[in-house]
Amino acid sequence: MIVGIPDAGLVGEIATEYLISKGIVDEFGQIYSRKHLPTIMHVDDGVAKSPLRLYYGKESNLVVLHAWTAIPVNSAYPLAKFISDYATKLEVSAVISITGMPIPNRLEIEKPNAYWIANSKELAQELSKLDIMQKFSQGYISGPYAPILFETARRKINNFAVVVESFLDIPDPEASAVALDIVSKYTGFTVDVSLLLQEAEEIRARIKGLMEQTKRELPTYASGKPMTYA
Amino acid sequence: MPAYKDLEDMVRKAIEAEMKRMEEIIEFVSREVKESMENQSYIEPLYTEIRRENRVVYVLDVPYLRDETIYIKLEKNTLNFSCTDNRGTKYRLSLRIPNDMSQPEVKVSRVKGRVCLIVEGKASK
Repeated sequence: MIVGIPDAGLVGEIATEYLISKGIVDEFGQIYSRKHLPTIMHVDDGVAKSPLRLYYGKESNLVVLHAWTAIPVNSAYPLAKFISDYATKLEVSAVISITGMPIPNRLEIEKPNAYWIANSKELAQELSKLDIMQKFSQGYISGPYAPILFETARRKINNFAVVVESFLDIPDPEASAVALDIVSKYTGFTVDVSLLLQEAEEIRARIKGLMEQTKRELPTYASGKPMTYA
Repeated sequence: MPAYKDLEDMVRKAIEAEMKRMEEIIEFVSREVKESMENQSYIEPLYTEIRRENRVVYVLDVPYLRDETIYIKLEKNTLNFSCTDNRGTKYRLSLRIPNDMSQPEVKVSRVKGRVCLIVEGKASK
């Protein structure tokens, strides 16, 4: 299961939206909560839908949870609980979260580095053997992905976050391409990210409103600190 | 009759002064309305700010930017930026430069599709 929720650089959000837009996964469910979701509906092809939806790809065997709107801080734990419940129900092998790590010299680096954060020692050992990303040794992770790591660990569900160096408050499709490349290598299902890079400018233009919304929401998670920092 | 003439002059001057004041108010309101309407036709680009010791870097995200439309003006501690993209959308942004930055200079570049504004100055002690 791959989780794409708007946060730093919209790295996860862009990655999962790419899987949806390219037809790699298809919509099969919507998540509603009068209590926990903002009063926003996502209008898709003229139809109002929940901004939190589930997708599945038969060929890729991937379940994707994608948020079309920023998730308020008060909804982060209930969402993490839902993800854990649903991952247990579907018996998924791992929950993969994709997020960004804001760095000041993002513009100067050619290809952003990627790190992993695991929710258990066993998974950390498994991920250490991979040479596609480095271990995020010491630091903090805040934002919507933090409670997912906690809740899944409680339920003994494998969960790791793919953390890619990114901008904080401007969309970063290049970082999303790096994350998708890693997910592709990890899951064994090939995702061609060349189109994502070609469409980067269009994605940035389209996603401006969501970035503005996320920018307002982010400080409530960690008192103005970035999502992941050492 | 001089007393009558003085009174007439006084009233005329008062009317003239009041008319001048009204004209100034009308001019001020017109200017404000024009400025407000102009601002409504602009949108603010997404940007990120990176502060270093003696330098502030602003990275602005303007997809489909027309390079030749970039306009930058540094006034006191405010950096004004405007541009247009190739879809006709106009962008405008006013950025406050740190007060401790003396004699700031602005360098503009385009890096990986983003606009990079580097404001460099001598930090006053």
